[in-house]
Amino acid sequence: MKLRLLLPIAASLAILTAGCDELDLLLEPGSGSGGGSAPLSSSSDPAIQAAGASSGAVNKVQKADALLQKGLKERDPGALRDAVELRPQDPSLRYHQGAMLLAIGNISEAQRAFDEGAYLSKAMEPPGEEDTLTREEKQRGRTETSLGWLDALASTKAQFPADSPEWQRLNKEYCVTLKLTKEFEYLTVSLQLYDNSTCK
Amino acid sequence: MRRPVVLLPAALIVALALAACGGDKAPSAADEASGSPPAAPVQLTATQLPFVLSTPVATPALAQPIAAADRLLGGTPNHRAATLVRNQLKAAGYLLPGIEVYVLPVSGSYEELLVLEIAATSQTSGDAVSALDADDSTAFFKALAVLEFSEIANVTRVVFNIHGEDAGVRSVATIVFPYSAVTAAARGEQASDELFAQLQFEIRPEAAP
Repeated sequence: MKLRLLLPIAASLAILTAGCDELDLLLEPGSGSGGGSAPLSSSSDPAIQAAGASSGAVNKVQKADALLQKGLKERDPGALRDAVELRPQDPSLRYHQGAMLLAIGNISEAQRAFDEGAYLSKAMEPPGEEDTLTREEKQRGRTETSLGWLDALASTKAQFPADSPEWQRLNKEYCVTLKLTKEFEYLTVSLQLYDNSTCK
Repeated sequence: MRRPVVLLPAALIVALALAACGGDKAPSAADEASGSPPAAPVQLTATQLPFVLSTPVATPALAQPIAAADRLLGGTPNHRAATLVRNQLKAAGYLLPGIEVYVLPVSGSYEELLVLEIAATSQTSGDAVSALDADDSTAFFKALAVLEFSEIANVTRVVFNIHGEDAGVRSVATIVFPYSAVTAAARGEQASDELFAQLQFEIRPEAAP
């Protein structure tokens, strides 16, 4: 594999951080004293494994985001379903799918998409001793669910005229969710980002 | 005179049993005699309950097998944190064509990765790389360090994914630093050899898009 072009580019970033003296070290993978070129995927540290997989993940994020924008702009649940299939572990995409289904009145499917998103948000909570977790950590899944659902409702609502039944349906759910979410006191700062001007 | 005393507990038990069984019984003669219409059954449906009050359950759709890499970074990207870094890089003059910023959560942990995607195949991205290779990189690190005390993110690693192509072969170089090393560099507290010692990297072929 020819890497003549790529190596200097990688080296340029190393120079940025380490200085030219270290260039040879980078160009000879595996010879580093502290760092190293062992496959990142073989690391026992999940964060390093994730770093090794990040390029592929970003590629899917970009494609899913394009489908999400298409689905919102064209009010197309099919595009949102495709986005979910591309990144099935991403709760936010399920919430957007659910919000669009709610908008068009498919309540049972909207509920299903929401529940799947909420389940994924909860499932991403790391295991840990209950006593050692902070309040925020204990509530992370619920926080992700509430804020993710509010984001999805807000962005979906913006695609419809304010006098449409779709908008009304979404706004009602948005306002109730916002009110319930305010019960979590530690979310006060985050909730300032959410517009409540359409809520009575 | 003792009969009502005996019957009352029995009636209560029957009433409780009916209630426990859902009260799914025909209108009684007493109801009909009173002239009042039978009460409509109360059904709690999804339209009556806010979604956030429902109990999340796994569905068959969630049971599909999934690649480990997809699971590891499958969570929702932290767009707010990424925007914050992007704005800082822009203000510092480093948000050039060919550079994209993402903050990705690592599933099953509280860690997040700050990921910079750098395309190194065009002239504009070549300019970006040149800019990154400047003598004074403090402003660049300061921009990346903006999330150090942020309440909206918990970044533990910075990842540079540099995409290149040579003779039709696409490759990606991934360079990983601890975020603490980057924030220390932003404060001028990190010696270059110490920083380099914490670097991890790999270069591998990349599938065509």
